[in-house]
Amino acid sequence: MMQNQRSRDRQWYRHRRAVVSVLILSVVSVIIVALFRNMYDSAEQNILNIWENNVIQLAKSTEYYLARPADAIEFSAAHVENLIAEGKTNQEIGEYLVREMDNYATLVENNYTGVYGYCRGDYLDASGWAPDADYDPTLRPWYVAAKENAGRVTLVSPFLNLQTGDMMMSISKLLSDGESVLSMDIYMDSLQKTVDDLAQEEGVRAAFIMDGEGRMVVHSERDQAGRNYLKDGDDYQKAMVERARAIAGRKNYYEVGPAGDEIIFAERISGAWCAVLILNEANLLGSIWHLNLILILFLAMAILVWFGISRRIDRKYREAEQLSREVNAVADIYEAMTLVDLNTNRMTVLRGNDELERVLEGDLTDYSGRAIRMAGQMAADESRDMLMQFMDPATYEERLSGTHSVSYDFLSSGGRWLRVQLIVVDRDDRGKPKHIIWAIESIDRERRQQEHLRELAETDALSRLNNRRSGESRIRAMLASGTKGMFILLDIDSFKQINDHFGHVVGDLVITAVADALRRTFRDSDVVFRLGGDEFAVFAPAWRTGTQRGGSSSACTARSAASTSRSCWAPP
Amino acid sequence: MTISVGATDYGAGDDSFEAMYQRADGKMYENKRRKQGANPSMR
Repeated sequence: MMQNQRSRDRQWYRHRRAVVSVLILSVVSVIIVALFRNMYDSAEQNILNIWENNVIQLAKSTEYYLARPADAIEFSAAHVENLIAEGKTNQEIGEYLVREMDNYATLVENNYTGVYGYCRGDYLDASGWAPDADYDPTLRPWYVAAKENAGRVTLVSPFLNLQTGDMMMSISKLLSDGESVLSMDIYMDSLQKTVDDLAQEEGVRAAFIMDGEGRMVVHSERDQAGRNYLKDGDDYQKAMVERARAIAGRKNYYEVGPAGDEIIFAERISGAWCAVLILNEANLLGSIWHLNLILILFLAMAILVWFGISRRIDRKYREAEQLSREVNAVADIYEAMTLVDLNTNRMTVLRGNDELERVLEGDLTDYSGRAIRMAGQMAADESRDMLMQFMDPATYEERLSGTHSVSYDFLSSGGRWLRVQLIVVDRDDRGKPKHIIWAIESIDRERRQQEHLRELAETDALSRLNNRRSGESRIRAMLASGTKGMFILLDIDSFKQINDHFGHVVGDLVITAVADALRRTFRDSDVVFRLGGDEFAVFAPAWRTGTQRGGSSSACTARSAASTSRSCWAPP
Repeated sequence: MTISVGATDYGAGDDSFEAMYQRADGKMYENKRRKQGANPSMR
């Protein structure tokens, strides 16, 4: 029953440990996944923020790049309007524009081709370019756009200069007379370089700036510059433009593109223009995945290692627990155990009993000086000398050489049979014991059982004397040791008739009476035993027939008590 | 009761238990016979 219960307990204990382990593992995994999810989100956000900043920077750069020529046109237009109001001629106005070229060169970093315009029916050009006779400035895009824009500085749609292959753009403004227009062509080289640089970054599919109509002002793929995606682009390009416009109007600057594997960053520029960056999502965020994957794998390995170590520790713990139970089971044999450090002479009581506590008197020091005295206090008179010799620490090294333990059985002063054992715990390099356990085991019950069994085996059940086997054995031992003495045989005359006439109960009483008489008559040192039936024998050591006449008194007492025989012994 | 006595240290020196027993046993029969002759009514 108990064993089944223990087995069930152990199974439940194992299951409980497994459940707890799985729970811990699950909780740790959830925490780790949450942690890494947070790290991933954070890393992703950081990367997106970087590219947000890049697209904002591109937009700001573009605005700044366009703002200076726009300011120049604004300023020149105001000045020309003043000159017109002052009644200056077109020639004087043209000369003014030539003078201003140097100033503009500084302002727009030579990225322009000079100021030109249409003033009161004449085409003026500060760079000195003379148009053909059929040239009509009022049909040119810069003039048309300025007119349409009614006096506001106008960013005219960019165009590709077929002569130079450069992307250029006009900035124009209608003057207050409603007919005259000033304009300036600027190169887009600087912006082109900016988008080219961005396009060099890993994962960037394209970088461009488009105007409000969907035309590519600059594009990292140069052959795309000037194309109007809304009008001439394919479905993807149209969708891209629409998506970029939508993004540019919001506060967050990115969104997954129409193909699903790219991320679009866009920022609005004045005049409904947009700066746009298109990045490959796999390149942009793949590194985070890889990093997270490596970290998760590393973590998984760490968990596995931890789990392995944990199981190993657990197994060791269970082995230690089992060993502890086994050791305790063995230690339960002893009712007192004291660990003795033979170098420091200090004792540590591992388990105590009354005898031990009485002799220790609370003092756990000076073992070698007190061991013999403690042994003397512990033993009864008949065991004292031997126990004191046994406990003499001066003899330990010799007696414990080549053996793990020595023991001695003794009768304690409390009347109990005890066994004392000296067990070696460890030794120094020379084999000398460093620590020993001084253990005391009660053998009282065992000893008394042995005595009882021996008594049963050696005693005649009816007479309570020694039986023939034990009697002979004792006599043979005495003779073997050279003991001399007298051997007496006795039988009860006519015992058969007693049994026949009075019954065996009376016969048994006679046997018992004779045995009692012999017990009383002879000494304790004499061997008195029943041979069998009505026959008894006695061996009385140190009696010499015919010489030790003093022995006759004991033998004759037996005769007077139990017999009517005429002689107590027959001389040889 | 009939008693007979053997002993160690007997003459030629056979001090074994068997020798001692046989000496006492021989005496026993001798004593028995003597006793039976003296007191035949106990038969």
